[in-house]
Amino acid sequence: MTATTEAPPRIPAPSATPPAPQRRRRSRVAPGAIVLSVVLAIGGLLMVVPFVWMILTSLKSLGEVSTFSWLPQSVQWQNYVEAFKAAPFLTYFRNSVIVVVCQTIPLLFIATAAGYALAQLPIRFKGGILTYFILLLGVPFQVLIVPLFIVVRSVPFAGGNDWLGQGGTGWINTWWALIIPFVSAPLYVFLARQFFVSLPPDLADAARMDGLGEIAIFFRIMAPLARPAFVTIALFNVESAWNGFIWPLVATSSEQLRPLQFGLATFAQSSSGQPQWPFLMAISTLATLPMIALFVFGQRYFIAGLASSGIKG
Amino acid sequence: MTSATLAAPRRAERRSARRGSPGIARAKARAGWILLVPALTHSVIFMALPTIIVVGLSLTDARVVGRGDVVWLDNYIELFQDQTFRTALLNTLAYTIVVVPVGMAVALLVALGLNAPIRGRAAYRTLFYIPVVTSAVAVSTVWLWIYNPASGLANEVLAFFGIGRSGWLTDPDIALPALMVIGVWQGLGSKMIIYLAALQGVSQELVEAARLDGANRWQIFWNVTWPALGPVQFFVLVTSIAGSFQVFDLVYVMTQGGPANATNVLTFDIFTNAFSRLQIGYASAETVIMFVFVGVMIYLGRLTQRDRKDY
Amino acid sequence: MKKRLGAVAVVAVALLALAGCSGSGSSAPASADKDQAGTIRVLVANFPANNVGQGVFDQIVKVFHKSYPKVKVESDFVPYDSLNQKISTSLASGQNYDVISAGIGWVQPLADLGAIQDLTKLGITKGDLEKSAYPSFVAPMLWKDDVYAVPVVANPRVLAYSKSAFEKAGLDPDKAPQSLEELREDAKKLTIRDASGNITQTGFDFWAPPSNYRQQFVAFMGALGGQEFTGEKPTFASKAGVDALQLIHDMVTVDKSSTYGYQNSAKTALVTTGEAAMGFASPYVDCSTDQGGIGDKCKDLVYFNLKDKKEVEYVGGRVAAVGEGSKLPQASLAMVKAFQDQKVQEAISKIDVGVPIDKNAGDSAFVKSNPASTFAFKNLDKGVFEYGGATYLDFRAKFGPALDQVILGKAQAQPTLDDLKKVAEGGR
Repeated sequence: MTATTEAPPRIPAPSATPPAPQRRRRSRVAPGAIVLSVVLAIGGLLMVVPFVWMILTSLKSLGEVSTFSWLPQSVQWQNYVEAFKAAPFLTYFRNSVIVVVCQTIPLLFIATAAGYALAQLPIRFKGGILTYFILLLGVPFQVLIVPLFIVVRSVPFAGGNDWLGQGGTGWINTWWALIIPFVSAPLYVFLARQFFVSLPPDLADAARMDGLGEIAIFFRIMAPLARPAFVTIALFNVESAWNGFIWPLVATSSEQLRPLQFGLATFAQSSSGQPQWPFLMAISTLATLPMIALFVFGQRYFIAGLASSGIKG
Repeated sequence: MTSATLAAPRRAERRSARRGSPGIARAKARAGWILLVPALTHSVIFMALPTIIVVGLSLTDARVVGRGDVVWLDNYIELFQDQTFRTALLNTLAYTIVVVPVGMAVALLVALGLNAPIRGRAAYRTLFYIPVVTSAVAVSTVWLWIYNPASGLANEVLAFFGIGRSGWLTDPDIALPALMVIGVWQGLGSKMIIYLAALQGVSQELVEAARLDGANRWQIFWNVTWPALGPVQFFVLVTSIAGSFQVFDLVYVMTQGGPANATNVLTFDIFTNAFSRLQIGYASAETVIMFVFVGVMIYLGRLTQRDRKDY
Repeated sequence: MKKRLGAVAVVAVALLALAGCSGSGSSAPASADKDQAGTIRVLVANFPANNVGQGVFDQIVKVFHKSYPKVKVESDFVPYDSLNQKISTSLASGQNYDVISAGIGWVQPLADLGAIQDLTKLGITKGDLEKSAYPSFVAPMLWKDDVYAVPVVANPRVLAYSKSAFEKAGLDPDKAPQSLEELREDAKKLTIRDASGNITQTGFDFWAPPSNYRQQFVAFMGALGGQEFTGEKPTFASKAGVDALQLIHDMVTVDKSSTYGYQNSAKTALVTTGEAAMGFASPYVDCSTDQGGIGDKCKDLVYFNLKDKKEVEYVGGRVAAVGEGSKLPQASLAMVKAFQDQKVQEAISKIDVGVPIDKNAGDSAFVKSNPASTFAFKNLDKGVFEYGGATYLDFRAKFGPALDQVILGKAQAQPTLDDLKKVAEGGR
């Protein structure tokens, strides 16, 4: 199968052989590898400078903030406890988790299904539909929030609305407003499509001959092959949902719904006008942990050749 | 539905599959629509419909939705005479033209490096990903410190090389380039992930075969890796263009469009018009113009794709 | 396509007309109604969304419940930067808030927009305002001569200098600059540079990031006898305005007694951290030796006002207003009055970093707690404000960058101010 690919070489099904090529290379610790490691280490260090500052600052005392510094004068572990007490952060955390999970799980299905369909199935106008999705990427969210607010508020039969969507508050100030508008996005449909476009149709054909239905083909055969795409989409959406601020601010007023970022805005100014950075950084540090965990966990799918057992060609 | 269609005897099915009969094609198309419809419907309600409302608003002089009169194309005419808008447009074009190619190239190089079988690459990958999740406040504070005209790292580095100090973000001539650097730095992590994910699909056997044929690293890259990245490359290109053209958070947090509009970019100008000035009709017209520009740039970007088939 | 858009616009307008139809304001004066039930929604800008902020808000609700015990209150806290987005979306969907607490300067645009309603029709007169606030605070509350909002807390920007820095520069530490020219000269003498010419002690700190020299300009212009707006007419393009702007340009770009747009990491006033010898400062200073307090530095600071033809203190501030279309206008009015309660003002001052507006609050513990608040409060009668007419928000957005151009020497003061005047008069 791999030998019969036509030019330009397309990405064939991942082979079942383990990453054997590595063993055949003799000079494994070549100078090239060392130089690469050094370059990556330096680059990596440049990348994490603000992150390191964030952690260090979370351990400083409140008075050390006015001048920029790196190391705390004395390590204030209690900041982590104190920060939590300053505002209902457990509620904010909980809200963020609910929103992130409830957005991302449906999203992974809806967007990838659409992406697959556009990539592999003979839909009429699929070129036009793809263009439509791509064009939607060009609309900035900042202005959309007002019309989107109107749409969300005018959902028929919700929040006291009649069948025309008038009279009540629709989904405003409910979980729906935070979740439903984001269970699909053109960005992820497009990304999924680009991943699926490179998968060979032979696999699907073979499955069809075995009598598998189209939808089953998607779920059972094609989707597992696109695990890197799934992980990528999940990472992206988790990050944007976790950090979302302006939409939750506008679409909700109750503290029981507002997310983490809203709580963080609390620390921007204290009574003396100084920002309470140590607390802000403490909560921010905690906030990054789930995403880093997700990334590290997702790394497993980012190793070549480890994709699911494809059909041996 | 589809399973009912395929309830036909298997042998007949296999014959059909081999000949690609219309029955199979219809089943595929139907399944395609089923898989597509949720995302399509969702986008129509929550994105296309609001966009249409924005276009409608652009024809009014509304300060807030619902309070205004239709003025047809007056907003558009006024925009092209608006110095602030023109500046924002130029700034945005400049920003995009620099950040997109530079950002993509650096991200690809880093992804290639992180795909090589070196030790500890999972750790390096995490390092490069971290800016994506670092708190925006931390990012802006550290960069403001770096660019601090009085005591920042950037000026220290310049002094080390004997070059005079700069005002960085307080200097109207340097502020935008300074932001471009941060833009590339910030955008690296996300692009890198996408490239990494795509690189996983590059056939190791092809690479090995090419190597055995005597191809050097560059030839392997150009003939095996690069074409395999085609579809994803297009994605990164389009999203980079759209993303850079819509740069907002960076400007909002670091410079608020200043000094003297030197870092005023389109989305920030739209935001200012919509909410600081409460002129949503005008801001909507600006959004439509921006949308057109993005569309044109994406189209131009598509022309650079080597293999149109992958579009 | 056009027809469809037109239809959408018409529908939107119709929706809003329907929504905004109710509540053209009853004319009976406010009176307590212990039996009225319902809910009012209150939009508050800049209350921290933490336990302290919630605690202060609960205090306000307690005062309100004395007259309307059965009316529930729903709060919505937003940062200042997002206030307009909240107002936009709530007006767009026909669900305006019952009470809005925003800043001075918002009153006229919101009134013109139909977002807040006439309080004089509900029973608050100018005379009522003058009972507790200084006369200068009344004009910014008016629209077409009726009261549309009440002042709650003032956010002045005071000025301070360091006695020790004065002494070192050979200036009399007991004499504040008596004119703007003297201020400029003093600033020059107070600027200390290192060997490579970088400023190590700022002569006069404007405490402004780039594009945010507006309030400082208003203060300087006020000292020269000028005003940003008189009634609804822009009067900043006067000689006072031009001279003030020119002076700021001279101080920043010619004398270089400060670094344009420079702020320290915490964005606090440089004169309180010792990085500047003189400059704008906050109306609250923590003189304790606790975390964040400046301890003994407090004794080194002397607070003063900008003085030239007039002695002025720049004042921003928080106001409260009743939303247009409110279904419970009297209850909303009572809520607005609750904001004015003296104890409430004091509590809000703490989180707003300001001082109470009430003339009689001088004895309050908070005002007396630190030298900055005491000074700021004492000089509220000399307030100059940043506010204008219906076009104020439009104009304000262009104001900052335009001032930049002049300060950086890229444009001349008079033509720039003249252009801004056109914007303020309703052009774009």
